[in-house]
Amino acid sequence: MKAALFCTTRYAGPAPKGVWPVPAHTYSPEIAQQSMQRTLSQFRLGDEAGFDWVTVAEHHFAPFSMSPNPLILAGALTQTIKRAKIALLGPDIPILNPVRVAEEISMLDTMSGGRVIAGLMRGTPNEYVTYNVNPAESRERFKEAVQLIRAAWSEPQPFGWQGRFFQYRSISIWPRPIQQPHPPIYISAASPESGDFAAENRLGIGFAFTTVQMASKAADYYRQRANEFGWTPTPDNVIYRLGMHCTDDDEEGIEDMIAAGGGQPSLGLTMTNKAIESAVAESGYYGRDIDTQRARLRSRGEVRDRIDKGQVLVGTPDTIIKQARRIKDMLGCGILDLSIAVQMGDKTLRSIEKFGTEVVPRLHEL
Amino acid sequence: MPKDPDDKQADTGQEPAFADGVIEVGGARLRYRAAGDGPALVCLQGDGGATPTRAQALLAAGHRVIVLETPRGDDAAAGLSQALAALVIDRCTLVGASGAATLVLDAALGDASRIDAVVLVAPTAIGANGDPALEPRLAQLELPVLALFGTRDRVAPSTLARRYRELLPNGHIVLVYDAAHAIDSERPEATAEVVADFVAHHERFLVTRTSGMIHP
Repeated sequence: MKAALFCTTRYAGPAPKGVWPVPAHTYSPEIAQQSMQRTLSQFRLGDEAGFDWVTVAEHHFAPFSMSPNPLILAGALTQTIKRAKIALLGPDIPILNPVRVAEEISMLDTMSGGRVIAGLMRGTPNEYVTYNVNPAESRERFKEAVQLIRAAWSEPQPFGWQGRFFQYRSISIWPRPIQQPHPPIYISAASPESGDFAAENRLGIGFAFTTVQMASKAADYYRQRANEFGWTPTPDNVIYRLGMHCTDDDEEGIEDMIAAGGGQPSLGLTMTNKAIESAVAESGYYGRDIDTQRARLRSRGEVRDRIDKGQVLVGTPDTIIKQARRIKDMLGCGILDLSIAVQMGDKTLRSIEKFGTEVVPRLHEL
Repeated sequence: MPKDPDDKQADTGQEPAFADGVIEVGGARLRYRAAGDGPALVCLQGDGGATPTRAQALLAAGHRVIVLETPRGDDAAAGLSQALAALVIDRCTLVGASGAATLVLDAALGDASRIDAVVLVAPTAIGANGDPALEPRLAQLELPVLALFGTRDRVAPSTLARRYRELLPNGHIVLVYDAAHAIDSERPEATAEVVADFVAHHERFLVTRTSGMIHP
């Protein structure tokens, strides 16, 4: 298995809680600047320690992840991350200009020497408010944008695009991706509709904010559908995101995680604004599996329960290897995308270093 | 007669009805169906018949649309030129779908006195099912050409589009998302919009004239 390090650009100062969009009246530019430097240095440490990938993600109007355009952050990483691949998980393509996304990812692939992983995401439900896009059209916009981005990467002659949601008279992007025909594409596949689309188009899949039990079910469905479309996904086609904290002692790991807020009930971005979430749900955004999709976005439990659900890897390298092996056996994933508590100072840095040097080489053998 | 709620064509009301006609070209009778007023579009269908597609019905709201049975024989291109004269067409945009694209390009390379521009819909003029003799001649075609390809088409795959762009000096390709070979039946609104824009502006269609203003 491979390991990716996901550091959110979390605002390090006080900010309002339990609200979205988050008001900025307590915002300090100095603290924001320090927060971004912290993210860059944590990624650099992860690269030096041995992580296979570093991961960036798009979120809006909130201090927990100040990367509204993760591709800008990735642009900085192309120059500071020397070895690891840079996973864009990802731009939220239904709310963006797909041609611009294709251009930016091509730039990043060129700037990084072909080290980009292209996650193409739908975003979280609340993010449809960000650029005033109707969530009822999210899935159709997404499917069209994926095909348009692929065409922009691979068509060698200028072409127009007559879509349902996007229309362009002439597209011919420069630079082009270094990886041919294009960087590996991953999409989120928690829902059966996404599993169908990934299987039909031979795309990789990723899971986040879920349990290993739910992800396993969705991954089985994806593999079954892929077989029907005449191909067999490998473990490298499946990314699983979960929390991680690596320590010298198992109890210390759990205590740290509780102290960082990882054991307290948390609503998460989506469920914070009930009006927005219910309106998005009514729009048909969640698809035919709505109850499961909403349930997985609701509050999380205490740390030991989260270990059982495969939502965190926590403890010593030996303990973490056991937890990771169980997830691999259940899910068949080839990449663990590890979201860390970025705000614990030296404890965060030790965790990154320990995981990179002591766990990653053993994960490669799993 | 009560309207069928599922029949969108019955609801538009704007589209003129197609009238049947027949012309004689070189002793052969060619059927056609025509509707609408405005710039002339002469359309040759993939099946060689004279049945209008949904996109052509939409275009008839602002154009003179003539769906012409495809001339046959050794000199079909000359037959097509005579047909344009017989239809009392001053100048037109010539539209060819699927296999009819070959004849349309052949005619445009011959007597183009009545042809302003060419539109190809899922053309199979070059490539595996095409005419090898035609390909080297396309460099001489100076008329503006718009070629549409469906992203799900396996007969005229969108990967063939780039060849037309390479060969035609004034060629423009547009991929029609989620359409297979019968582009103008599957995505009629999308097809009609880009064809109308191209007929009106030729290569200047690259610049949009659609307002982005939401509230004045």
